Amino acid sequence: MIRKFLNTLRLDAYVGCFMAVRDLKRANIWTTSLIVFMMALTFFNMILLGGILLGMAEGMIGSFKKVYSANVFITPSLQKNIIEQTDTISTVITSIPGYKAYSKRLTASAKAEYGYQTKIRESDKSESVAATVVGIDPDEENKVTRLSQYVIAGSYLNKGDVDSVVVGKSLLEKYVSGGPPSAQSEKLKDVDIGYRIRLTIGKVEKEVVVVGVIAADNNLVDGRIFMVDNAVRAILGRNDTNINEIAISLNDGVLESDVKNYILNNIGNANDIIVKTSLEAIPSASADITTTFSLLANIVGAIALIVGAITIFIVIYVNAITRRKYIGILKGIGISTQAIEISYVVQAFFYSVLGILIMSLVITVLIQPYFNIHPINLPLGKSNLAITLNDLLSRGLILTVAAIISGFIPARMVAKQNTLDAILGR
Amino acid sequence: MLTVKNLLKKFQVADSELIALNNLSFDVPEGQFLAITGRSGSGKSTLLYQLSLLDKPNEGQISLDNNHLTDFTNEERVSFRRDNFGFIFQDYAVLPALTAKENCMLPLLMQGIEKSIATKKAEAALIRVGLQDKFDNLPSQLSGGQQQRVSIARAIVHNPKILFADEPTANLDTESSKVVLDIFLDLNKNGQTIIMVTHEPEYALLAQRNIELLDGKIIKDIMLERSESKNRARKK
Repeated sequence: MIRKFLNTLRLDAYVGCFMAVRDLKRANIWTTSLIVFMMALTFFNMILLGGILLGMAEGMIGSFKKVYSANVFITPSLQKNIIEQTDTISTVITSIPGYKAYSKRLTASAKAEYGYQTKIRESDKSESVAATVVGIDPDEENKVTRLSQYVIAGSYLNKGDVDSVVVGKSLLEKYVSGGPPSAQSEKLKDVDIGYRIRLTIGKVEKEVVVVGVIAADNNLVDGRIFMVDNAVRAILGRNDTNINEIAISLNDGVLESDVKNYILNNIGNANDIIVKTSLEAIPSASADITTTFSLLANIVGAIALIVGAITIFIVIYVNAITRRKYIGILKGIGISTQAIEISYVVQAFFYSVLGILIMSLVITVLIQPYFNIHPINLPLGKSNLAITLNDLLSRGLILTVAAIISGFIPARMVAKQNTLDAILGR
Repeated sequence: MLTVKNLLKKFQVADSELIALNNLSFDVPEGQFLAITGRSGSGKSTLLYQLSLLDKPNEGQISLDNNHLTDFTNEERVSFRRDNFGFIFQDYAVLPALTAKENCMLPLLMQGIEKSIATKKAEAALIRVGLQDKFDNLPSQLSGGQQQRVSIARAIVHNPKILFADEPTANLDTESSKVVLDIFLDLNKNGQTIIMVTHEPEYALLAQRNIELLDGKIIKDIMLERSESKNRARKK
């Protein structure tokens, strides 16, 4: 029974392929090219917009991890303003298997002003902007986020630069192009390298010199003012070693969640701190955007798939309908319905696979390299085209399956019709 | 031996019922060349479709060598037709994407015959109908008469028990018609059973037997003298 079934299936497949190959070989080259082109565009539609949206999402996630949170990020718990027991935490961090580097940051809300020197009356306006001042150990921070690489003007901080700051580009109008007028009004208009600005933290004022400008293409980092930690501590009048943020970078292959658990398990009072993986550390608004982008990418991909499936259905249906008489003749001379169906399925398979291969080649050889050279610049990070080989294979497979089903249904509809009616065109 | 008993075929036309074949009974012995004639609408093509299993009668029995063909399922009808019957259509019905040889190979491949053997058999069938120099021609590269000969080669390539022909010369000129009928006579001389529908009385005279239909009923069933009838037809 099974042997008979397999033998029939083998024969149907052989005859179906025999007919399909000849149909394709002798079809009008322009018609075939048009169908393949249409399949290629469908695949492009499925891949590209999704890839751009996912690229944006990944760009944001990657940007935060790269220049802000590193692999694991520690902040005070909601009940605390600062991370205490810093020394204990430092000891635990350095004992993490796979630990690479870490940076302790002391943050404070501040007002940065320029033009205050020329104020004669209290009511005279100076340029000012609200910003977060971040006290860092320049060397430690550089090991974790490579902050010095993002200096676009001037220089990076040195450990002894107690009167110097590196300012994020979002705070300086000269380094920001475009943007809404409201956003531009919150920038220091005339400040550049070598200019003196005044920081006010609480009630303490300090004059500092802008030695560098940072452009990390991440709105959080680009909105900060970096200063040597001892200088910030002096402004705040603190003698302790307490801090507000710790960013830990790990060796490749180390699981962030494992490290998170390790820290929580080895610290005396784990309730005083919040330990996050890089993904958890993304600000909620940005996380919402990435989730939305991922969702949009899936919706766009699904719509493209449906459009592609309907298109191949129409192509095969029209093809089968116009050849209804020949399908009748095939059945009349004893060709099985299954062999006829297989013939059309093979043709649909050919159209889709060829279209997918051509477009995969175009994407990997032309489009993806173009986006690598010219990434899309977003406020939350740079975005490349997020298309992997796995994406190409999985979506290509989905489109092929959809094409096969879309080819099979109309072929079955026509092949199942009464043989004589098909031959006589009734 | 093909046996037909009480064959009835009805069609629903609007609200009324049209009886296309009305209680037909006859036998066709092996090796006979039977011509079915009659006026347009007499039911001759309908009869051929029932006999060749392209259509199903409402009532009656068709048997071939003790096989009750009317009891077959659709799949059984397809495979029985493939293995035992050959069919020649009025408008050639060759497949446009296949060469003459591939057209003939297709039923053999469906029977599970190896490609190399199918190729040889297809070539032999094409040689038999005089198309030895047209193996690799597509139908679009052949004349109407040549296409009909491809159709005949495809119908005989698997040595069918019965060869059915539905007005095989209707679309052909006189010269091509004669070539086709000569092939039929040659095949019949070698023992091939042929059932041919034709509206040309002179072509019917080439057969050994003539059944004439009118309004779905047999009005004449006569045996013809082969040599006499052939000569008469040739003279024309």
